[in-house]
Amino acid sequence: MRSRRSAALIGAALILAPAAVFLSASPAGAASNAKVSVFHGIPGVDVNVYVNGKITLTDFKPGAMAGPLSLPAGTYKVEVTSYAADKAAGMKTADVIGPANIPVKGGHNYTIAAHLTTGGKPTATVFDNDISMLAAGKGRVTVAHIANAPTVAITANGGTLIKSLSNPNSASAVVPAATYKVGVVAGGATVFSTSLPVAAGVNTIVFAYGTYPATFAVAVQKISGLGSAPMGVPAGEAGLANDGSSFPGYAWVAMILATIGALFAGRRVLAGSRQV
Amino acid sequence: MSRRGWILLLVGSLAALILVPTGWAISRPDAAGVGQLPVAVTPSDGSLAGPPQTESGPLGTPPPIPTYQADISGQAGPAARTPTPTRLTIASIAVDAPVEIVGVAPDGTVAIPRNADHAGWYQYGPAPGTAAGSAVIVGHRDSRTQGRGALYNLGAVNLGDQIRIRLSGGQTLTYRVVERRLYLKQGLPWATFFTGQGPPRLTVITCGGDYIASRGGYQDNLIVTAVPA
Repeated sequence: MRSRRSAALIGAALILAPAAVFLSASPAGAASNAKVSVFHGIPGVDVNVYVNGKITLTDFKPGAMAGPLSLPAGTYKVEVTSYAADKAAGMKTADVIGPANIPVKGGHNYTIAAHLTTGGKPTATVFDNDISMLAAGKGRVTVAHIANAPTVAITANGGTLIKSLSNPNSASAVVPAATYKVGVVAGGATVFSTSLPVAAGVNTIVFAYGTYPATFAVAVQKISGLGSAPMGVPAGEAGLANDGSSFPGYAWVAMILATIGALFAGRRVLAGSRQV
Repeated sequence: MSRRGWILLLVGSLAALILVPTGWAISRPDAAGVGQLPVAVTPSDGSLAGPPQTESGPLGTPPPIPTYQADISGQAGPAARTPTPTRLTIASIAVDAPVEIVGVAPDGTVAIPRNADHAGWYQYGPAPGTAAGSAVIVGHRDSRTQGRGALYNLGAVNLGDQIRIRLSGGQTLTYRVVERRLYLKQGLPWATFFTGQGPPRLTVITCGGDYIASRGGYQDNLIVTAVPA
């Protein structure tokens, strides 16, 4: 999540998706596609999501993650409506969020989050997830602050992981793969803590959402496949084994003995045959 | 010695001159096997395929999009209860070693168990028994202080030999050797062996090849690949 773009949307937010289906006339190479996930971080409201005018997610519930979808680069028009209102009307009702035009670049990995501002207004933020490769044995942990809550600090196993994080931002750190006790600190006090497994080669993204403390909750998205192989396997040091390209010493001895034997025996055999 | 004796010595010596180098060439673990596994990597990018959507009702039907509840309470522990390997047995070459869980050393290489009689499972890759990818077991060929290591005999393993892995759950997995090969350490394509992609397989790695003390010791890695039997 190197950058984020706060879409200036009002209402419950949400977004995006399988416009690939609809944009069937653009068979862009998979390599230039973007991956897009959608997170619903507004407690208490189920929504429908429309992309380029077509219904894409229906009865999408708070705390749910959709995707990732592989989408051709481009700009997508996203609208969010109330699921209950659509259902009652039997048709698409007025947008609660949007329409928002969201540009998507090929090769990137996005998470579009519908959430509350600090203050409690619904909005949507597009996070451009960090998918750069990690060294062997390392994991990336990302924390996204999309909660109706003040600026916080994030700790891991008691040490500071992220000094200051405010809505709607994210920050990440590369750590040895392990399970961490992650804490959220506000006003000097730990207001929330959880056990968080961070796997090697994975960007583990934590979304803190809702309104603190009434509906505060934490969701996790994992982007895997970012791991590198180790640099080598140093599994020997004494040279006791010999399976290299050099002919081993005992074999040379055997060859020399066999040569001597063959010469002597050959002479004798030949000499013997002359005597007969 | 009788003439008959000399003839026997002559024949024996000539045979040795042929058989010694031949036997050496056959026994050395340079390259044996199919050379290439049928590694089929299936895309997991969630791209949408299938028939075009048909409208149904005023709202239409949304396409099938993978959706899940992302609440952190639903996150199991670290690959949590996946059984891990505890013992490596290759009966045909008298290898029988406890397996430790190993990671990465500060220099970025795999941390080989201190005890040369132990093998190590690389914990950041698949575990044996995982549906896809290469489960890696490493072990010492030898050690300056401890002599021959757990995988000293690995160069003698033959295609078709069985490898057994005991898991922490008590289960035993059986693999069949399909490739045995020396790779020059320099430029070795490690991503081929440390990967969660492709068919399930077991990769056993130690050192081998020429031992040149002035050039860091063993010049090669000896890598044995096995598939579920």
